[in-house]
Amino acid sequence: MIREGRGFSGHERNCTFLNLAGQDQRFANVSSATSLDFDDDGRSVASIDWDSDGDLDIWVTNRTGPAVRYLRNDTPSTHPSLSFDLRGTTANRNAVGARVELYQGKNGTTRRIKSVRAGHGHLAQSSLHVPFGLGTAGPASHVIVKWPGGSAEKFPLPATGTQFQLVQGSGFAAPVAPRPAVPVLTPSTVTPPEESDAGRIVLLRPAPVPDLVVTTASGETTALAPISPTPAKPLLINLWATWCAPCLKEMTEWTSAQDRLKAAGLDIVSISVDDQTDPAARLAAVTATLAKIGYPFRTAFPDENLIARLESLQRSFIGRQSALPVPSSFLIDSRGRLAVIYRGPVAVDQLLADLTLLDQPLDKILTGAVPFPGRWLGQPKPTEARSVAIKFLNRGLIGEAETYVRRLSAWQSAHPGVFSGQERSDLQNYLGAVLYDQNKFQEALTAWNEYIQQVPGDRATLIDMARAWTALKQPVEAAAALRQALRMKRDDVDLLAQLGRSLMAAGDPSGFREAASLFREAMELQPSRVLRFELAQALGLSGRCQEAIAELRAILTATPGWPPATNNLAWLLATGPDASLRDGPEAVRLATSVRNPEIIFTLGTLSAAYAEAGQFDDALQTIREAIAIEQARPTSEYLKDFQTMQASYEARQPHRDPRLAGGQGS
Amino acid sequence: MDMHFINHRSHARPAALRWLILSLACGFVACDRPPPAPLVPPKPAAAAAPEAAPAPATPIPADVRATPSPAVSTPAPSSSTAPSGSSSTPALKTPLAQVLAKADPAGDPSWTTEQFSEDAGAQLNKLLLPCWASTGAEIPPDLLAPDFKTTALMPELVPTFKDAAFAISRPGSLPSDLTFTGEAGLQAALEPARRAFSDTTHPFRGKIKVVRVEPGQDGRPWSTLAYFEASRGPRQHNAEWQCTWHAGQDGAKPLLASITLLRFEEVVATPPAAGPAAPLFADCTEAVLGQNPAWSSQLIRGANHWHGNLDVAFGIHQGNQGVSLADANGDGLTDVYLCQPDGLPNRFFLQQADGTLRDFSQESGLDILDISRSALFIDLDNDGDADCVLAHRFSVSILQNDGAARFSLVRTMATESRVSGLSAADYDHDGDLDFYVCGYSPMSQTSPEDIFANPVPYEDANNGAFNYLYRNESNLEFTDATTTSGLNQNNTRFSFCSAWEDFDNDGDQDLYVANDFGRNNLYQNNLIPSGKATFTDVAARLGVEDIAASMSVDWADADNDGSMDLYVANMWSSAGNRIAFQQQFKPGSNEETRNLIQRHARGNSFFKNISGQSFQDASETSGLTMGRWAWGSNFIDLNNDGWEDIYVANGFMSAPDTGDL
Repeated sequence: MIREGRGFSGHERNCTFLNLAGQDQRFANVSSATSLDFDDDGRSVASIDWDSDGDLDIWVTNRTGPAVRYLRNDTPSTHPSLSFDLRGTTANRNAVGARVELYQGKNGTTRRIKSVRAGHGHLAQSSLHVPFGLGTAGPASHVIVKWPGGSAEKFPLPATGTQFQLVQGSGFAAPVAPRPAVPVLTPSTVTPPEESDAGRIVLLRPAPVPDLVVTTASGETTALAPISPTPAKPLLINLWATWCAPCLKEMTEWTSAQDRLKAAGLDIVSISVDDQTDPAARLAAVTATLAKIGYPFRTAFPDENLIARLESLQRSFIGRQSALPVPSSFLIDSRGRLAVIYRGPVAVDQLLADLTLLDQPLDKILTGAVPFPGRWLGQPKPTEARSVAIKFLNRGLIGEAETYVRRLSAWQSAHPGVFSGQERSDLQNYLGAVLYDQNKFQEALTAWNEYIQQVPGDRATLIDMARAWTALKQPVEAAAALRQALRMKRDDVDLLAQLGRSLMAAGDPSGFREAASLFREAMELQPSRVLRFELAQALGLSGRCQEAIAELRAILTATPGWPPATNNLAWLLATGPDASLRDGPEAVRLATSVRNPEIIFTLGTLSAAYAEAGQFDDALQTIREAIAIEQARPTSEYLKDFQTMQASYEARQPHRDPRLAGGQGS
Repeated sequence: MDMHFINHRSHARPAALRWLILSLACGFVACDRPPPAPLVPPKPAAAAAPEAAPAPATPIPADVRATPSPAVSTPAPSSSTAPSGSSSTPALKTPLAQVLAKADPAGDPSWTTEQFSEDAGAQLNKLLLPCWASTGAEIPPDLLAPDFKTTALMPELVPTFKDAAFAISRPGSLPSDLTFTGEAGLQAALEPARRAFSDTTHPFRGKIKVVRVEPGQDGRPWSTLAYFEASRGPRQHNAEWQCTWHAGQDGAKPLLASITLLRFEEVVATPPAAGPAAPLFADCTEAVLGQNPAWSSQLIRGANHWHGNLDVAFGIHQGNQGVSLADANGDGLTDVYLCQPDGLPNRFFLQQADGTLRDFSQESGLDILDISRSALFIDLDNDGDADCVLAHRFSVSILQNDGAARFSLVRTMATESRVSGLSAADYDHDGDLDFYVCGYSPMSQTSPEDIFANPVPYEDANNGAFNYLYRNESNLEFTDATTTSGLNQNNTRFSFCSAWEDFDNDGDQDLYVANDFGRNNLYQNNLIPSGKATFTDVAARLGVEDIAASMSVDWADADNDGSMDLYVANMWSSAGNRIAFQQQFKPGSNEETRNLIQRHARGNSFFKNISGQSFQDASETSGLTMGRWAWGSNFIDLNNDGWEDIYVANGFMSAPDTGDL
């Protein structure tokens, strides 16, 4: 959001609250009256009597410009003030943590307390000097300092003087000579420079460019920075337009400096972004403009994807997200990697300087990447090349992401040793992800298989693979991936349930038994009606009808009438293999309660219940109704089953579901 | 709160994978499954459908074929990975994040009360506010309902406070009757304010913020609570209004039906000696800093400029960089150190005799380019000069002063946390200074780059980073005393800043820690004479947990009763207030969560210390909550009257162009 230049609780005005000296508990909001209500994104506040005039001035830092303000306190005040500088001897020398009690007024009846503090507010350190405003409480007679780790010590105060040093153990408030008067500084309104779209961004780590294809004036297409193991000349890809004055100025400068640029080995290709609705007119305008400049470098026209690719490319590395301005240029190193982005014109000297950054190690690049010199205690972590793919993805260009990841792969083969092993395998992982996002599940699995052999412990990818297998309706493989993921972390309800479902889908009776125990394990972690329902299903299909019935009854005790459980319980009671578990009348009652011709199998369930209860005429009538509905449908899911059932009823036989016999029965 | 989640995408797993993982997090079954299998009759038994509508697997009966069970459904990647929404939006699925999303101008427009607030706010700001200061101005049409009535808007005031700088007046009593009716009534009610603002030396400025909204039901009017602030130079009016509205029909703006004044305050500041038009606080930044190239090239610019000129690998600059004031070269003048974001050198300036600053960054050795949050200049080796402790990236560095403000790196202590604020104390009374460093977010265990963990749960997040207590072992050596001192209790928050104080007046230093997204800590020091210090977190017991998004903390005896009171900066959000207090907010959420969320939006907290034994939450009675999105919030006695005032720096992220609220 911020990168896209939008605000969030911005332009808020700083607040100032005035303590009404006990006149009223409620502080007064004097934010505007003090003129301290800047609308900066304020952060760190520290106070100090900067100009030694006896009142507290403010330093404040901001996220917005200016990054810091010094605000001089000109508040008219008739109140005197005192300031103490403490020095510990047995206590820490700064006396941080010392409590200073100031006694004022007749017989020292008014007490004010302060502490020496190092670090407060937001990331701030205020002056270690301890200031006291005296208000109307009268002159101060003495202070008592409670030294950290030491005892309390009294310092009588002389009648005159405003600044004192209090040395631990001295008992003497040593006057500090007032600072010679400082010239009164002139206030001003700070106006940060207008923000511009221009910028120069040195990539901490160069990134291979996407496929960039251009057409020359004569109509030939050329790939810029093709992947090749042989180093090429550094290339500046420049976007310009005939109507863009800064472009022409920049190109004219390059033309004047062509000898220096060519001597430095730089190849430049200027790509026109002029309106292409009339190619002939565009060609004419471009040709005329270039001739006028006498432009000595290569020129070309973009193919349809070039601008979008460069756009994504720059957004991958720049904190502030905005469209590419014209002119913009991209400095490509000898291996086809983007090294520097220039939004706006770039001067010849800057270009020449930046050429020296190409193919350099990070510490060298770092010195060129920052706007001011300084020293590093550590190092920032460079943005990885794959972020370009991420940027494509984030912009909804999944196909582009795939193309780029494939190009990275090819680039890595042409330049072995540049990417680390982890990056290489990561690429496969990314490739899998972008393929998956395009529903190319088989290809995704190919990439992920390669990746997972390198990184067998990536649980997230194993789960992704299971999803891909599932999408391909290959539950056995999905189950294998899930098993592997579960080996890393067993207490994951979703995975346990998912593996259970994969096994159920695979349809292998031994899988049903395992599924049942998985559902049970998941339920122990997090009980849920749905899991219990699935458990009952797995139990039923494993031939454990009694347990299945018990689970379904438990669901219905907790949630009476829940249709899925009602239907399935009726089915078990009507069609199960064990006569002692069957109960025709109850099955009829249950199945009747969920009968719904729109949900066709509820008719199947009801018919089976009637048959079990010996009501074969009802069974037949119901199943015929079901068959009629199924036949009217474009695709009939249950027709064959219904016809089998009808045949049984016609033979005055109840229906038996062979699957409920489990592994043993059928 | 820190927008720590903004940036994570550029570092983290590929977006596709992240989306998948997110959807996994909200349920492999529930999120990606197709519409539930039609086992449940859609119409009659809708109420009996499974709560989250996960397809309850295949019905056994009719499905006699073995394979087509949709037990594991086909994922729907293309729809579940809609890329546009995921590119920059934080992926938090937590209550306040939702509130924040609503507060975001591009957020969900379906929240009708938010639309109403915006309309009502626009009516008040565009139509009513200009009338406050311009005598004779017509009341614009399309503002008042035909039956409009109001109480007095600026009733008879009585002086509450007066000194050489400020005069504060408040109503002797609040008018309760809506005695002014219609347009003429409003004109009459505005008259006293217009008289007060008749001096046009200074421009008029004002803002009305709608902070609560309750929809009108059964034909009753809508109701809003609004904060009003207006000023002309040194004169300022603050008020709180209860407004009722007739909702507009067919897109028409709402019409104001009544205003009831709930609070009023007039501030009149006495201009300084410099002249009647001069501000009480003069911006002398350029005069102090302007002669240094670092001012015009670096410090005058804000984050947005650097975002366009640095590789995003340097991070998104959130501005959480501190200022440190200390005398580093022993000349008796206080110098200034400014921490800076990644890729920009921290700046160190020496104060000159004339009060201006000279850039000494390079010579000092403190021109550090690594992202730095805070620095302390304290005498760690008791040799008479100020050494430097610097919190940067995932470490704390100790730099020794040679006495002339030239610093050399002694050691860097790596932390597992992205460090934030520093505060020092001799907590064990051994005569040297120890220090505490807050850790904001943890370095991920699995991926060193994935440094941004999402706070969970948002309103009470406990998955932040460790804070560290470093004990001074002399010779500028430090040991991690976090665990031995007991400061490892409740130490996994998103901590911003801390401050030491002897709150219980027992002679040793206690520690308050301000945490983003949740509870704060007050560690009471149980130091025994042998020098063994252990801490107990008493924040909950003493009622100062202050569950909110805390950014800073300061101590002072604000009521002058002899014990140190506490001011904690939090996030005040008008949108958060509006939404969290509505009946319809998070219906079904339990009262506790709701209270937490409301508390999160309340703003700053002021806790009065009662004799070192307990704290009284005086935030609202003292009028100190509305510090907006507050960061540094310090006690400063601005007028030397011996009573601590408060300055609050606020604002989260301003866009470069258009004005936000």
